[in-house]
Amino acid sequence: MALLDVKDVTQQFGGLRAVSSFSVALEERELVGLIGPNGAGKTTIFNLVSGFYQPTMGTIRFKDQPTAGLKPNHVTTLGVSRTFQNIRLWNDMTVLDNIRVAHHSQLSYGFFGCSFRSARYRDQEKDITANAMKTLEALDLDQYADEFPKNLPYGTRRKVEIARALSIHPRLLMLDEPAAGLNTADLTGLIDLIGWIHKEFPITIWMIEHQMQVVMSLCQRIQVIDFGATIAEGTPTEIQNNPAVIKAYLGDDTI
Amino acid sequence: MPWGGALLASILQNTLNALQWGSFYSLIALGYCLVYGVLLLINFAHGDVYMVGAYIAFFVATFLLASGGLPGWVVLAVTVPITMVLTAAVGVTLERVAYRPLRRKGAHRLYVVVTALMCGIILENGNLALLGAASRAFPELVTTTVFSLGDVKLTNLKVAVIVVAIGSFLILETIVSRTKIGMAMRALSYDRFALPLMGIPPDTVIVFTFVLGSSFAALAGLLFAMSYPVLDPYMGAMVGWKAFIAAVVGGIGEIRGAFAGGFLLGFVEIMVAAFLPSTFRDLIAFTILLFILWMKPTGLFGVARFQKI
Amino acid sequence: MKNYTKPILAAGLWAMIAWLFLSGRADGYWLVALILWGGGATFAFYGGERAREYGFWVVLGTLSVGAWWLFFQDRRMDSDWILCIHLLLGAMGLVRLFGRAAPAWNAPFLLAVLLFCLVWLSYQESINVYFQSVLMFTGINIIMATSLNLVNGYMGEFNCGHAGPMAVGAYVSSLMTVALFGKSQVFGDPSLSPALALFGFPFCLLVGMAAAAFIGFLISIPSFKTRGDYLAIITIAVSYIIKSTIENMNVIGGARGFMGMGQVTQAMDKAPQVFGLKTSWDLPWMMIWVFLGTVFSVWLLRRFVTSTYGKGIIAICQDEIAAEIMSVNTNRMKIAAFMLSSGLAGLAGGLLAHAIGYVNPSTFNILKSTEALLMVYLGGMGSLSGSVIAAVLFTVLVDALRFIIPILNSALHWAHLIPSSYEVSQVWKWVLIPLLLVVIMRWRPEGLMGNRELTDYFPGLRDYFRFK
Repeated sequence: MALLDVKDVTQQFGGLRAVSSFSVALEERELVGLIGPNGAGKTTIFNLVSGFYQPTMGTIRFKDQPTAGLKPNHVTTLGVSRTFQNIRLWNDMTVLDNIRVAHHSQLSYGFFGCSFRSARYRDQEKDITANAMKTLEALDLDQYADEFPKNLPYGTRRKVEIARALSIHPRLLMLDEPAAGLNTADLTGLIDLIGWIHKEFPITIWMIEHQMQVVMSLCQRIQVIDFGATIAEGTPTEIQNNPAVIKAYLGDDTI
Repeated sequence: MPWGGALLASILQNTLNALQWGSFYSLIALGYCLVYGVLLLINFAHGDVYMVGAYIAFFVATFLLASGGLPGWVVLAVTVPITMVLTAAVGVTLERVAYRPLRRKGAHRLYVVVTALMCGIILENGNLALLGAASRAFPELVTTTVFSLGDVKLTNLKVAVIVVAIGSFLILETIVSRTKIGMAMRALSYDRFALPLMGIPPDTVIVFTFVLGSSFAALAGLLFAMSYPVLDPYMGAMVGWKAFIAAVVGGIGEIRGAFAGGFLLGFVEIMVAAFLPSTFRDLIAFTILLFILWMKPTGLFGVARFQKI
Repeated sequence: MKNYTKPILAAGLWAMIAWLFLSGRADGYWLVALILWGGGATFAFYGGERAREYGFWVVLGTLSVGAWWLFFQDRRMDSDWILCIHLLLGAMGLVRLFGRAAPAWNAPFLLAVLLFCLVWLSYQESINVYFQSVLMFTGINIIMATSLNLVNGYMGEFNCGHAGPMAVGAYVSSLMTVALFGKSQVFGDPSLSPALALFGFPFCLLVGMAAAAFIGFLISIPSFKTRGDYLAIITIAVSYIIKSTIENMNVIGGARGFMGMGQVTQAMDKAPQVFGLKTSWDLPWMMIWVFLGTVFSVWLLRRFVTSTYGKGIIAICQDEIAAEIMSVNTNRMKIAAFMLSSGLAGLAGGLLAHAIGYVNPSTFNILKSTEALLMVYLGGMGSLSGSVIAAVLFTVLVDALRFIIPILNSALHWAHLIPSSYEVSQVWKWVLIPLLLVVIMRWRPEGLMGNRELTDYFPGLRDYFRFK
């Protein structure tokens, strides 16, 4: 049974078909890449899986459970976590708070718990703070715990966002262009980081990326889409030599 | 069918009244909408700029009447441009003194909105403090002519108000969609930071927007003063809020929306007042507006701004 | 901020001392005490390293010495004031010395002493009814501002109809207290003994809060989909609808308003006999309730926004999409924020209605909402202490201007700056206050405190006042 099973999903925005009959099955502990030219519909697929859009047609099943009709926060609690193309951290909250708030769905003390500082409140706050610090330490970010993300360099913000997504122990981590805007030094660090996460945590990683260096060195298999439809699938070397992929990226040279 | 005829006449009469009443809302809502469309700023002082317009019109008209034996229509013809220019100056002063420094310092949008709210209160109470609480009667510049069509009565003023409102809408729509400066206004609303890069000074565009909005508020003030010739410092407060609501219900930032929203509000208010106790006016008007916003959360003509994830 | 705060505070202090003396409000003896106090405060500001060590005690000492000086100079300060000042000074000293041992109890202890002093001074009539009412309005304004800050500051929405839930809270609690404990045309004789008013009052306030919170719930439903200015309109419309509905309910007085709460507060103030025990003296109960309500509101909001649960609201403000994807149930958090904010507004309304003794729909017009907005943005979005400071400043300013404007008037006439036919009237108050806000905005475009708390600017406070 696949962890994530996307079957024949189509997304229609008015007259525009952003995704058409897209299917993918991700197994446990895989590291899969999703590539394609700009506007191919990659982020739309992520948005569909994370529950921002409801697919026009087709089904998405996570852990064999259909996610149709679920709101993003509910999908996340099932174990799907993601980062964004343009970093979406809460900039006026400390890094530690950013990670703590990510545990929101695990809180059960509610309004009265936090007004009366009940025992449950104290336990849960202690737990999530400990867990957040553990995640920060694991990613070597603990020295930034009390900083505001807006004051951090871009590469570190990327890392904090990954830490936030990772801190809630997801089964599936979706990274939307994690290398966007990073310099060469940060890039090698990122490749190491993703590789390390994949090795260290029992997790499936699904990644959209344009940087071929990242995709080719990390992904076990790659899916290429163009105009919302899959055009190729396979191992990095297969993809590199696939004529359809070359055509989609470089255009038709048989003029 | 005498009874049916009377009902028909009453409906027609009230429709005319509603068109007139809605014209004021529309003219003010247009000003809200222009500034909002360009700066995303709810210029809460706009209702009071309208009040200032009415007062300026009053002083200009009284002065002209007193100083020379000019006929009424000449006075009116001179008053209109003077009022529009002076009120525009007030609007631009607000923008220069209160809003621009905040914008320059990169203040949160809502601080600018609250500053606008405060400027409105300053205008109202400043007027009250300087000129006193006595309400002023606006001089009659044009003799009112009544045309009767059966039971439906029509005055030349009423027709003029409606025509001016429609004309203003057409002028504004043309300026925004056809002219170069209108294009700059639209560009500013899409991206404030790209505009200077294209060699367009954003401040000029913003000042022009305030000039347009304030002068049309002045026009509304003048027409209101002529139709209901009693002025008081708080006349702009309530009308201003309502016109803003009308602009939002129309779909804020959309000129068509503001125009339609103003007429819609005027229509609802007049019809409620005509057929129900007048204390129900606000209650029912706001309930209807709420219902419209519930059905169409971005207003009648508004388009949801799509947020890229 | 740091560069300006000290000089401004010090200059304000000395200007006030000079004004008190020059306007003849303080005689030579008072001047001695005032200079002593001002000197203590200035030392605390500018004493540098030594002030950090001794400044606190210098301030306490000068306050005490000055008070005794006034006491011995012909009882210029009466014994009740001496008692209360020393109680407060003693409490602060205790907290300074032993506060670190149990930081959670410092704030409740200080507040309890403060409440005792206020009650004692009012009971002994050392502070007059006018001053008491100013204190009550300060408390009510604090509730109003802090509760609005939850939605407008922390959640970043623009609620400009805060007066709506206030009106609901005011009317529901007033109708209840009058029906239960007062005689009125609407409800006839009281259904319970007026002696029970003291115990029934908080319950009635709670019911008012619940009704107001329900309004908040109704507003929160459109907020799931609608944001920003469309939501602002919905809040205005709701507040207008509430006001208009009350105006049309002639049973409860309609536009004329509803009264009768005066008897209820009097019934509380009179010594009620319950279970054969004399439960109270002639205490200023309304002031106590307002004080408790204020502390309750700030306490509740503070706890809410410092918990991870409540921080979900700040997350929604800063990035709603990120909040949704990081498992924050945005709809539920919006309901919570609106209900809490409106509920506390209802509390403010209920207290206001009983403090004044009557309610009128036009009390809760758009101007009331505007006042609340003014306080929130003056204090800073997302700063509770900012809202508290702004509310105190605003209330004090409104009442101070009542005295300052006539002085200003005579000064301007004396200097022949205005024609003798023109009098500077109280209307100028509502020109000067908004003007002040506009000026402050130019100086600090994020409000007095920005989105930070007092303890962020003065970390030393954290040792003594842990208000959580």
